[in-house]
Amino acid sequence: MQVPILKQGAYLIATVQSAVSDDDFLQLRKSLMQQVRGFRSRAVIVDVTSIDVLDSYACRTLRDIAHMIALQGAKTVVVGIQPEVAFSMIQLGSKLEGVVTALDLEEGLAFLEGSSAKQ
Amino acid sequence: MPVRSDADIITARQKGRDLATVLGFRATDLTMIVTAISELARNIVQYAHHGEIRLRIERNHALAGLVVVAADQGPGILDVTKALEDGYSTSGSLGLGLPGVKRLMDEFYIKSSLNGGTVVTTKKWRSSSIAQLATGVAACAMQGQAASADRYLVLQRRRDYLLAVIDGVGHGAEAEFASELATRALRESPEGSLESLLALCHARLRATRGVVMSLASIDARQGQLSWIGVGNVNGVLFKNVINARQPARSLVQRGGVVGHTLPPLRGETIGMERGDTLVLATDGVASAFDQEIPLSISAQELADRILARHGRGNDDALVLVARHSGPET
Repeated sequence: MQVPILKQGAYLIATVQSAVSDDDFLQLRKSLMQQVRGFRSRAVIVDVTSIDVLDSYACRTLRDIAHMIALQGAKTVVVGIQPEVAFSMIQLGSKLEGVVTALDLEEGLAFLEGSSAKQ
Repeated sequence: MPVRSDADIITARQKGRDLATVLGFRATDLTMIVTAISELARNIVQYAHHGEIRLRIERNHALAGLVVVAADQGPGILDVTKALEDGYSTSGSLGLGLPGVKRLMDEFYIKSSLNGGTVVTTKKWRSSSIAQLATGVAACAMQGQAASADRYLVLQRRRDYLLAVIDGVGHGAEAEFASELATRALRESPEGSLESLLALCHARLRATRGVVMSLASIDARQGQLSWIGVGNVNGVLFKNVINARQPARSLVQRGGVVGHTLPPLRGETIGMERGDTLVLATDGVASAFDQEIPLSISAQELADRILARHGRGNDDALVLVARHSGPET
């Protein structure tokens, strides 16, 4: 199942579904890279609210996405990591170093508004 | 079920989630199990290209567990010990994997030989299925004092229950502060041996008046009680033997004050069967409470009765009662 990406003004919002495969993740990375360039987006929000598992591979892919988008001059915010998922990530030893996270979509948008207002 | 591709990883996860849900695992445990399955299935796809994931239910007394077996005929792991260290990866792309899985699950076994494949067996026990413990507590503050400096704690740990009764040295706010600090230390990091927990409290309480305390851990499944005491918090284990009253066992306490002088310590482990009842009481309760025959009333009623009959009235007093109410061991 492909991850839908919504264009909202200067932002892109990707809503990741629960049964996302590795290929879907790679496809997401590719699409986001293209669309950030195509739409000249300033930021990407990756919403993982409905994801019930973030294993080491998924975490690394999220990290890669954020870093690649940063290299294109845009920001990435990962929103909606569930408490149980966060707990398992810590047990597993997964880290999202250098990735901005926010509680939910609303907080993620608020963060982006706040950080663009300061510039 | 066979694991060959990306899509199989998702199927394995889903099947694991379904089975774990049926077994009654809580959300946090569910996610840990599913994450572990995902890692194991991914290892198969990545290193062995194909293999299988088997799921089954295991019962051990009252304990229900989910067993996840990941087997493949792949190249095997050259150095298993090394593969269990964080940050080790043969392909350079999977830095976590096995040590993470080990942390996510309760039990972890691995068999691997070079070119002979790998079998990883992991188990997760449903924590709420640890055999039950019935507890009761009764407490009162010394006359003229608003609050008591006595504290107690009952925590369900990974494999057993931890119980503590703590008495801050002296009376009033400073004594209360010391026992509160000890309670908090135990609550924050309850795992580990009783000796190490005492040492932890000792370190945290150096700047305080100190406390006397007794700690007990009850593994109801194994039918074992371990206990240790510094200072005068009495501990007695009443045996449940029908028609032949077996003498109660008493906790051997060592003199000392946690936070000031910690004596050399070694906990004692004794058997605790269904119906056996542990009582921990601070020194506001006369030690003659061990003359009670407590087995026909509930844990809470026993705590109330001991406090009513043996409370000295001139000191803070606290009684904690814990009865093994699980299945036969």
